[in-house]
Amino acid sequence: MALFENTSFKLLQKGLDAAWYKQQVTLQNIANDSTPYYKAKSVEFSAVLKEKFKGKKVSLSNASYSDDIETPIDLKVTTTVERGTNQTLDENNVDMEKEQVELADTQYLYSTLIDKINGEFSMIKSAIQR
Amino acid sequence: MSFLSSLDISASALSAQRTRMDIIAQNIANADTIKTEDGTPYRRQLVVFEEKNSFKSYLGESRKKARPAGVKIAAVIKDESPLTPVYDPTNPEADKNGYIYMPNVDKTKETIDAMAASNSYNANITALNAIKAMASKALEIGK
Repeated sequence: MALFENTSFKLLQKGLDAAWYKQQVTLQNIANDSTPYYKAKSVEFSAVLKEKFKGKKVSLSNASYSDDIETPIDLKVTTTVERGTNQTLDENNVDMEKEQVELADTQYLYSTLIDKINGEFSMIKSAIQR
Repeated sequence: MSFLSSLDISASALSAQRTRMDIIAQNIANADTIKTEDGTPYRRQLVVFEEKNSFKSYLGESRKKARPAGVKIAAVIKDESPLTPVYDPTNPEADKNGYIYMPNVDKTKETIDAMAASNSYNANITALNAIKAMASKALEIGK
């Protein structure tokens, strides 16, 4: 079934997984906003994405496009623990405003990815119907 | 992707904050209790939260993607700060100098704590709704 195994599907799937994981970490931060000594965790994947793209030239005129090429972006998810910033006396550094923004941000990212996947599907659908 | 375990993160926080609220209510209710079951004055209680993480993350199997699992109540401890002596020689519970000991409950502190618990509860409801909306959105794939 090569139809559903192209690069963009793989990427979108990875993106969805990563966004879901990021949301879980934000949930964890919000859940632990009154836990002493808890340090806020943050998930980064967009940075890795840019780094992978750096120095790679994508030429559109290249006629021999192959779908078997390695996924250009290996969506690597890194979780970092923020240290050094203290919000309260109990050594907890969860910034509730920041977490709420992350929550909304990731929700929109996830939504967008779903829409993209649906776009891919409708392309396939219209190809079938011709 | 584990849909149900994601809900558990917020759910655990909701129940933890509710327990915290129960303890605060208990403290305020017993602010004037000078004799508990064991005969001593009531002491203020407080909850200690602890991060809950899945066991696998400690085994190093997936340290990069440690599964968050919410929060839990590690303990409910008694505040050992000194009790407030009040001079009341007619009270049958008074000691030989005529003092009774009032619980170390500070109602202002409890009220502030209750507000914090309530705010946390609301924040977790918002978080729960966000992940719920994401899960519903995922069901739209292929529609």
